[in-house]
Amino acid sequence: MRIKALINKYKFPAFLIGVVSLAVVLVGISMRIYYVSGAFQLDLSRPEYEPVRSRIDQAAKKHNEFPTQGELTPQALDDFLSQYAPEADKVTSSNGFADDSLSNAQLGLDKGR
Amino acid sequence: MMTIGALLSATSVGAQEMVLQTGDGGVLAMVKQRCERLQSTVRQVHTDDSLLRVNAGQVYNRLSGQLMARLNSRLALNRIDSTAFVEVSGRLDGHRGEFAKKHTAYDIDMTELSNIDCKTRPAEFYAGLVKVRDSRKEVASIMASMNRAVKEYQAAVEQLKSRLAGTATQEQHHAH
Repeated sequence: MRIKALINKYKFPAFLIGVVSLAVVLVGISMRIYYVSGAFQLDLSRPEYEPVRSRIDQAAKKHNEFPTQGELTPQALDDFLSQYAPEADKVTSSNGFADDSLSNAQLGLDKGR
Repeated sequence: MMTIGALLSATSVGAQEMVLQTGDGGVLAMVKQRCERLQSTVRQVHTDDSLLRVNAGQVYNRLSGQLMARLNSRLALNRIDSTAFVEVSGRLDGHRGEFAKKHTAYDIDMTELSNIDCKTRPAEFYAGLVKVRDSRKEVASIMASMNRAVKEYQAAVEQLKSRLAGTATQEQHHAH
């Protein structure tokens, strides 16, 4: 009853406190989802990734989809391969995470050095 | 060595063993000595790997969603046996989920490593480094499996193309 009376007395400040509290809760929930879902790891808009942002492959978004309808001829498969092979090359030609950039030798932690 | 053991109390058994195998602590001395350079290299590798994760993820998404899945349905519509194609693309999809999980684990390990001060806690830093190498190796291994699937699918398409081309040539001969 006392709280209700206070809210009635200070309507505008109570409204502001309510809105800010709601915003804090909603931001907390969003941040939780952001971290738990793994979106955090894929988010290169974070300030520490500013120098490498230009190296994000934008070409992947511009491709056409391979049509699901139509006769399947050698020419159609050629068309498929002309889209597939360059994409496949991007991942298969790189060493990926298999390089030794964190080895003792690379980091200069070899005893002999 | 007692101090190293105490410092490593919170890290994995495998990582602790690796550090203890360093024997005279020469590596730990080097970690301390090259601390700033090490931290900078770790940060650089972390950034490069995050970029690689995003770019590779986009490529696998495109290969799976925009190309493989669509060719599989076209094969089915044309009543061509697509068992091998479906099997390989299904395998790639499974690996994609695993890749995301392994990379998340690696990213967490890497973030933890970046937060360790190698000047004051060299043993803990080295143990973290060993752990990061292991999780990075797991990401590399799952990526290699995905790449095998990608190549297998391409080979299957090329094989089908030659088969269809052969059938078309035969039909032309019969027509003449």
